[in-house]
Amino acid sequence: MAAPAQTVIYRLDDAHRPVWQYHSMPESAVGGGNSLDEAREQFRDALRFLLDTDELPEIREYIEREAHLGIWVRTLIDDPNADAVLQMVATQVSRYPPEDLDWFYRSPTAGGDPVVFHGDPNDPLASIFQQMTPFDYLILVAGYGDGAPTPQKLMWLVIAGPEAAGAGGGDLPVGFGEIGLTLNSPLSKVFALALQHHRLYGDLHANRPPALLALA
Amino acid sequence: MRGRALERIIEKYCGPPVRHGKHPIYQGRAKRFAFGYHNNAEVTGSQARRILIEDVGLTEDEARKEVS
Repeated sequence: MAAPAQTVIYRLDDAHRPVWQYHSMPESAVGGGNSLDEAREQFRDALRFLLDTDELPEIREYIEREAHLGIWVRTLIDDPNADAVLQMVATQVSRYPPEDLDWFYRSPTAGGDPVVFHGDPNDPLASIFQQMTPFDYLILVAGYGDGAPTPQKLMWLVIAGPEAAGAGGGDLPVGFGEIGLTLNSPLSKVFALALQHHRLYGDLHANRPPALLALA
Repeated sequence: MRGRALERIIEKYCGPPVRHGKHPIYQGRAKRFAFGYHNNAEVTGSQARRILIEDVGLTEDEARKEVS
């Protein structure tokens, strides 16, 4: 039987050598390379060894770069808008007061730092779970406005893995099923329903909806 | 943290690799994983934390004690 599709995340951290360090899921491989190409090759080597085959499954690749004070941005490795997304998040987050930054720090990945992901609105919710382990939080961001290229406002939404420490970070986690979401729901619907739920039950502070609990 | 130092912690809990090679494979409490760092590589704190908690299977307290 063919191995399931794999997800690998390469993080650029200039303070360490190797500068590109990766981790993967569901097969777990960790390591790094001094260039992105080297890290990609190292990962593939490790995966061949783990799976004991030269026939590699589909591999979904992401990169992470730091946006602001330990808050990281994840994008698809071939996302043509990756730099713009990084800049958008960095600009917005750097304007927040410290108490709002704490909101991000309360929802870290298993590595201990928060990661923001900007997904395509048409992508299914399953595409988010595929890049999370049970120990991760992942913070989704979406822009909304009048349709202009630059969104008027950013919305943030926390997805919590079932084993994530203190899931919800103080907010009350909500099961996806409770608000009518499935793994096939597009991210646009995820945000729409989360916002609707927030309006009904949440404390409408800034533009931050309550955390949702990932049940996958 | 150096790659070798982290590997020593891994071996303390997981024992020797279940498969030797360029990317030795360890069996953690919950799952197996391939460790691809060289001895002198500088593993980021984030990566070390993820490995110890998620792969090796330590609690946060155990992981913190090991790296402190």
